[in-house]
Amino acid sequence: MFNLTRTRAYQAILSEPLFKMNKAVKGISFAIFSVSLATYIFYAFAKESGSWILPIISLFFSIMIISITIDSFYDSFVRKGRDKKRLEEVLDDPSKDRNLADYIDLETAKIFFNSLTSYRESSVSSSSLLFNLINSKDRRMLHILSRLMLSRDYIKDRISASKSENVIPCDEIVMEAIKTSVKRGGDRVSEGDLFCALSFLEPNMKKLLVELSIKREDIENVNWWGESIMRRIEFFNKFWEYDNLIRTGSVGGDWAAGWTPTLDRYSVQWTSIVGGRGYEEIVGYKEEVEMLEDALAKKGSKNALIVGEIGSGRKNIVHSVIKKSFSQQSFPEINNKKFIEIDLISLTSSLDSVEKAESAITACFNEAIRAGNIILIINNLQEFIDVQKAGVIDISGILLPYLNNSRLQLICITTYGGLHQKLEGKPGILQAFTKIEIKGMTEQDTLLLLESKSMQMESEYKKFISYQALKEIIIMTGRYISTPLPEKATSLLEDVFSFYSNKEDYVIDAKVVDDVLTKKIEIPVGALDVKEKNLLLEMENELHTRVVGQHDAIKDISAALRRARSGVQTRKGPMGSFLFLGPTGVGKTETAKALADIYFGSEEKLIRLDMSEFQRVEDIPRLMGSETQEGILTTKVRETPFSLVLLDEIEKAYPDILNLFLQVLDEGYLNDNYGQKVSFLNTIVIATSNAGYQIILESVKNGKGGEEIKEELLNNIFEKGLFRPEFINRFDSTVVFRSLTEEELLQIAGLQLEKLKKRLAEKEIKFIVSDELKRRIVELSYNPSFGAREMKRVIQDKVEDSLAQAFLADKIQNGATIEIDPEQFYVLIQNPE
Amino acid sequence: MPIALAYFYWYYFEMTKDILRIFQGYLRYWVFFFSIKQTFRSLFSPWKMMDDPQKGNLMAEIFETAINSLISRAIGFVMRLFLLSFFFAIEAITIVVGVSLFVIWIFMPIILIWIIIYSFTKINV
Repeated sequence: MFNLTRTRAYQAILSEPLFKMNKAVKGISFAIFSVSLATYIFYAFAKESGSWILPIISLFFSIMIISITIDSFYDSFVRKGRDKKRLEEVLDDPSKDRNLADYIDLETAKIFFNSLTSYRESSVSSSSLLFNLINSKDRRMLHILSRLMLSRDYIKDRISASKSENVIPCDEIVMEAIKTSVKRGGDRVSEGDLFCALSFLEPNMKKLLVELSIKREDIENVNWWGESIMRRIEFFNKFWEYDNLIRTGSVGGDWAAGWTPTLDRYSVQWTSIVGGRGYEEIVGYKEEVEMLEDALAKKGSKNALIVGEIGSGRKNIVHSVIKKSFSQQSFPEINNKKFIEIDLISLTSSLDSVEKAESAITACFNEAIRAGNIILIINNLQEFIDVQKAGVIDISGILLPYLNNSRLQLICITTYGGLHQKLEGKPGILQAFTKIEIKGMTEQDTLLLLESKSMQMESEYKKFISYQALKEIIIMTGRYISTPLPEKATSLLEDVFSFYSNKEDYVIDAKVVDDVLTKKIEIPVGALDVKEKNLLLEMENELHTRVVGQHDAIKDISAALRRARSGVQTRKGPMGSFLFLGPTGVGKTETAKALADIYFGSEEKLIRLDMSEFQRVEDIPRLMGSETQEGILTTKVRETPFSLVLLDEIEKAYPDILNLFLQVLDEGYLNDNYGQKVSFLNTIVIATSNAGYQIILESVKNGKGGEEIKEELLNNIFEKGLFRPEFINRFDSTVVFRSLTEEELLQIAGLQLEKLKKRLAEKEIKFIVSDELKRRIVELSYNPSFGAREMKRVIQDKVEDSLAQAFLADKIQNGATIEIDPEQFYVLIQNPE
Repeated sequence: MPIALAYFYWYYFEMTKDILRIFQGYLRYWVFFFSIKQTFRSLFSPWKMMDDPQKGNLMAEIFETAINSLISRAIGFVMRLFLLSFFFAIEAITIVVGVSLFVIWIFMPIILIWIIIYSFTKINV
């Protein structure tokens, strides 16, 4: 049921003129009170009797106080509607007959009030409701519309233009809004919740949002954001509340604690850092924070080891506990403690001997225990255990005796690599810690964190960031950067603001995020631009400018790339993966080089590995890396994530190496020797092999076609066990390069000689390439087993050698025209007169 | 509930509850601000833990350590006593102010109406 007339909000709306009048009375009475008080004081200074003014002062003072209390009643009770009815009870028992109008706040009630044709109506025109909502001056609506970059006028025009009248039952709208409000932990339906509901129920609005790619969850997130801002403002305004009062800090808490001179010299005070930020609310990690508190408060050794990748938010967990300790919301063993990090690097660098450093570290531990109010932190513990480097101290020996001391509370932070490589080898140390693993923040929590940080940055940089830009940061960092959240997202947010700080535009949208990320990781991200779209559509033509023949192969490759970049492709893995099969010298490598040049912009983006160099099990560390060497493949791909990986002669590699590539082709990732993921998601992987090439030569001789050759070839490969079927299946396409025809060889000869012609043109020498010369070269170089590979050698031996001799003998002058005799290969020169 | 009745409900029920809550908040706040729990717990503890540990078994050293400890504890006790005195004074003021405000709040409507009537009579005169 929905009956607006039977709510307190309705009474408030009807009595609103009275409350407005009360505001005026408040103002006027304050003015008269102030003036009369000032007059009285003036009379007092003038030593005249002003007693006649006193009744006026007292009268208007009383009226002012009464007005203030009525105003306060309106703000805190009428508008907020402090009611005992809980929203959750509506969802728990939706069938129960109740007046849903009781669950909306005053501003929302006004929207319904203005939209209903009669106040006893229980259905409303959705467009009328939306219209009144959009026109609302409430800050919540302004926030939602601005963050989503929705123009009020545009929405109004679209609704007016649609001319359709949809009438929806009010209780259906309110029920939908209640679901949104409960999700965000609200106690009443607000205008933002109503807007969320209408975005789902109002057909024109729904259509508009689909066109603008705005989902319901986006509106809910922005609504949630706005509500949390308003709650924080409300909270900070109530300076008299206990939680606000305690932000001033306390006096005398550390009078019982000892001095810590050594520790003070070589430490970083985390408590001050967190306090300097106003002990802001830290998002997420609830479970991990509780685990840390338990570890620091338990009986016995009170040590915690926080393990996580860099950027996963390990320090945020400590910051949360610091905040709770400061506001005394944690255990007694943690409240009022100082969190201090021993700065081991500055300690060891400022002391000139290992003994002095060890003595200083021991002094720090002793002082912390003696002081009694310190929780010590050691960051990057793995750097100081089992140390091989000169100038860095190994603290494992010093640490061990203190770990079992129940008076010491120690937090150590390390990475997974550090845990596995250094600490697991020292069970005595590891057992004394409670291990807390940090997997990284969820996307939803990271979004909340970005919302909070962006408010600070907006005021610093005087810019405005849209919600879509924040969402783009989460999506793009998830897709292109493999380190954990939240740091990659917060780092990109800072880069975006910093990049945009000197631009004139005020608003940062999703496109700016894409541009900044593209510059940062050197991979084109976001929507395809016009240049790339044209390139993909004309890929076949582009490749044919460098590769002769092989039409089927080029068609396959172009189609796969178009699927990958347009977002149609559903499987994970690299952007494209191809297995090139065929005899030697037919253009497999040349196609890969051409693709690297055309698509990635340069042949330098080609990572080429000759797999015949990896034929033994001992060669695996050379590819993947080991403790003593970097991996050739993993390092190169990590450094150039947007590239073409060419694995030549893959059939010659050690079989276990092929198994490694199964993961690359399937998931697009490889773990290096440190367990770190190397992403292949922005690469194209091409493997070449001339396995079974005799089949191709035979089939071409017998006049067989493309698919027939491919089938025969693959059957042969499986029979001989050269590759396993599951390996072949993981490629996007198996491309068969057949041997070259004479016509194609002539074209290739032309291309090779064209290159020579260009080089000579730079020396201002015109080189005429005759058809006879091309035919002669083809005749001399053609060998089905070697393809066009011999051609280069023939051109070198016959053509280039003759030219070199002629140049050295000074027979060719600048501006000369030359030709090569196709029979004897001597140089015919026509020098300028 | 009619709006007029709601006003009195809010005034005598909701706001009274809020005033008592804020009053209690301030009382708790002074306990926090002056670190009362820690101060009581460490009332006789040495000032900043300044008591040298016993160095040896010789009577002279033991005596010296004991004297140092006593002086340090005396300093600590005096400082903490000052702190506690400040706390009790401010807490007492808070109680007085809080109770007064509470009483004023309760009787304020009557007081204000009386002032208005009285002022009107005086003005007329």
